[in-house]
Amino acid sequence: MALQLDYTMDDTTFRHFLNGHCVVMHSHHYLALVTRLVEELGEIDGTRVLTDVVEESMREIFDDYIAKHGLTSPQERGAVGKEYYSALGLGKLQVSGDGNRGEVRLLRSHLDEGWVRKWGTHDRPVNHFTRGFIAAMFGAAFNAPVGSFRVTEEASIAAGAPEGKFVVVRNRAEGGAA
Amino acid sequence: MTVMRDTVVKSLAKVTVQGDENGLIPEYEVLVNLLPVSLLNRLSERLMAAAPPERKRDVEAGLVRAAYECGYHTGCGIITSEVFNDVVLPMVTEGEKDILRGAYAAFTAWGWAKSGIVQLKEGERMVIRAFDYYEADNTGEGLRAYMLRGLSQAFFDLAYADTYPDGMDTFVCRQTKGIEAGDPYGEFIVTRK
Amino acid sequence: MTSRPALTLVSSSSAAAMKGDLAQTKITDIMQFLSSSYGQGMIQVTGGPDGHEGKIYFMSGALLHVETGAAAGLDGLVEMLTWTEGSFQFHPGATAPDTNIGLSIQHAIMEAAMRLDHRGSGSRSGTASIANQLIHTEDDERSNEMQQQRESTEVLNDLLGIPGIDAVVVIGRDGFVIESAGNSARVNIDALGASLAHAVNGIEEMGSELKINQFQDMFVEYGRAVILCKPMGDAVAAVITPDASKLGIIRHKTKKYFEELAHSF
Repeated sequence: MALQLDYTMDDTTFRHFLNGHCVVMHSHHYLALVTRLVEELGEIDGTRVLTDVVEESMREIFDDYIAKHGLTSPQERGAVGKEYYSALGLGKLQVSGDGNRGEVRLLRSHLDEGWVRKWGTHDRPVNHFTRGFIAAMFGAAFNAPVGSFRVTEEASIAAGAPEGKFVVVRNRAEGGAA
Repeated sequence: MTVMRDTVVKSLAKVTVQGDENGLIPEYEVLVNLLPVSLLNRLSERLMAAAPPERKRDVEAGLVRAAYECGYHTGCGIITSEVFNDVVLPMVTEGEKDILRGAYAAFTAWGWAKSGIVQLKEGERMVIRAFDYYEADNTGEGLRAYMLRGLSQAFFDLAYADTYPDGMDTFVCRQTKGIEAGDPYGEFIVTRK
Repeated sequence: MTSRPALTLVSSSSAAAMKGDLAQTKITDIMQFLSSSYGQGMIQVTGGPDGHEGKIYFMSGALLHVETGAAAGLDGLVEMLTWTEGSFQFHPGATAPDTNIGLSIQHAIMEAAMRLDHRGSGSRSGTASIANQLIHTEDDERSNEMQQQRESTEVLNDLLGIPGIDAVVVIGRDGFVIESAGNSARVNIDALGASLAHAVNGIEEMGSELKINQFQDMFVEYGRAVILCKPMGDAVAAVITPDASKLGIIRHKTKKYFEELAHSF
């Protein structure tokens, strides 16, 4: 599926929109520093705040696209997230799985590669942003409520792996039935 | 002749970035991304709301820092880029002052903030006004335009501090007014640290 | 707002004539009122400390000729602007002996008022205060004292309070619209800012090529509407008036606000 990308600009405010949602350009320095900030906020579970925010925010965008284009199959609906990931410059995903579990390979990564450029390799995975993104992608694909999928990063480019690996598990306690 | 803002905005507003075959956007000597402003605002709101009182200043400083380093490094790439060279530099007659005018026209064109220079004392002080910026949508308390604070500080450092990358943290930017706080515009003042 | 001057209609053997007292009205108001009501005529003024006589001839809205015993042309008008006591009489249809001014009534008043100001600032401020009294109107009771720097928004609102001003805008030299107030809803304010910046740049380049002073004022006339621009440090302020007949007064009354505004930019 090829994601349809409609870029527009408001002539008065000069804000930019992608498929009707306001977007703004940032660099790997920004996302790397925001990631480090949430890691330093352990007392408020900062990484959880980030993954939750990403999941909620991206889910709105995926659901909007899915509704506008009348997509019904999990493959089509899941592909929206995958294609958005690349269109936004976040990297390249390879996705497999069903409504209960899945696996996502991260072939290229804006955040990980940016982190390594900025600070070198790290001692643990740092891509909390993509964990939230994948949770939104699976939720949209299988029409499950936000919070239905738990995503863990098992291999990390930032930590020296050639590609990232994320494991997705349906969270029965938090989410609804498939 | 000086940098004409409308010329810059019209030219740069046409520049659209999009992921390549690897899903990456290598531009301006950095990796660029496009993020939904709803996500960015929600993140700063939640972090500030969740932080205990004694940590709120750290969160705020962290958000400004992220924008600052993004602005400093990306800004250097922008003002040395081909597009800036083609569009802005031919109009530069007043040195750094015009570079900064071009920079704020670029901020406007790329949707960060509809902003410009109100006062500029070269190498000492700059006052910026912004009539629209995405952090104006941020719900929360107080002045919350962390991104524009960081960017303004970064560009003043690039213009008047030591040559890149040695000029970091020479100046500081504080926000004195904000649309998010009910003011008609955001106001930002950059001074020496 | 410019009030209708106190006039008395008297009959003479040949035609109706009007006369009045300078203590009750101002020469500038008389000139504007009569030139808008009559196609041609002469205002004969007797005033000043020694009871000098002056004559002001106009035709079709233009000031053609001014003379007093001591001066002629714009200098004569400048002298007459200082006459706050005396009398005048209007002679409709009178023809000027020659042309020694040739400006619109509004521009002539404006230039004379500015010359009066410069003369005052070159010696003492007393003369300028006379000019201020001359162009003073009832609604202008604001204090000239600016004890402390005000927000530019307040100054813009005061500018907007001057009768005849429709909109005020302050732009950076790059065309960034720093601030605007007034009836600007019908215009694209960003486009206006860009156009003004381009125009100012062109004018500054011209001045630079000609090796003359930096530009101080710019007037752009569109029929009866006028845009008046003035540099304020790194910014340019512009006021828009739909009625050029008030330009002289507007220019004089905006002066102190422009000076105040310059501190903000």
